[in-house]
Amino acid sequence: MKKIPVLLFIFSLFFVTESFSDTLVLSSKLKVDYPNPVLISHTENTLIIKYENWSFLHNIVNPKEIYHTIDLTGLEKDFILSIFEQKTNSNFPEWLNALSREQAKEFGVTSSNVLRRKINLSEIIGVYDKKRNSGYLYVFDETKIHHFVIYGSEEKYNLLVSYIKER
Amino acid sequence: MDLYDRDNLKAFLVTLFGNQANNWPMSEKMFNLTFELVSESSACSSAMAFVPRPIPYGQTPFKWLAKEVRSKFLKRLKNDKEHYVICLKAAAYRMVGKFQMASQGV
Repeated sequence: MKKIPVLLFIFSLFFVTESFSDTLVLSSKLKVDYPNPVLISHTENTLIIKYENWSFLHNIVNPKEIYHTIDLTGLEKDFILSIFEQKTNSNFPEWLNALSREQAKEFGVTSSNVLRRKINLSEIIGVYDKKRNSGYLYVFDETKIHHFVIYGSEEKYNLLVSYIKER
Repeated sequence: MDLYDRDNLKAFLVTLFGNQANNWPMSEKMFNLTFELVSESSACSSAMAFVPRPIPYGQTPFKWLAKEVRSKFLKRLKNDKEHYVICLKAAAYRMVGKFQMASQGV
């Protein structure tokens, strides 16, 4: 009989650990609820959330910093969409369409592996590259473009997508 | 890495990634990521011309390559950095997160 409270206590600890999570607020309408990481680190512009066997990174897309030598101000949304849609944008100069194709190749984009999801007015677009065990996600909210990179399995990539929610 | 190699690596990474690379430690890990970045890009093969490949499984480029080869590789990257910025920019954007993690030691 004495063992029952002990077992209940152990069970409750397990439950608490599993359900505990932190929240990253993306905007007044969007958030990411993620499980407790091993560590969190921050560079000048990127938040790193690290787990035992996977990590994800978040930053806000700065059109002047996607490519250090190219200023994409005003074109950033169309450019990012063009990477995933793999269509020539007639408003782009040819070199920018070529760069979009090159980036699609680097991300491992194919005609069948692009994820698109809507959360109210926000849109998520992304891809998981099985060859490199990496995923690339963009969230277009009303004012900003959020960029997530995941280093880990496809299962974790799908989990990260599911963590992005309405507030 | 000696001071000369570190300077060459930093000059290359700053040209490729901008000012953020000024704060990155020029470590063995940074060298290995740079090697991975360049070696995976067929458009940028000139720096790889004198590098013995393939790297044996389980070995890191830094440990596998002789000091002289590492130095030549880094010198080539620094001297031709404008060329590499053009041919590596898409791969660099894909990999910048790995460099940022390495810079934080995570």
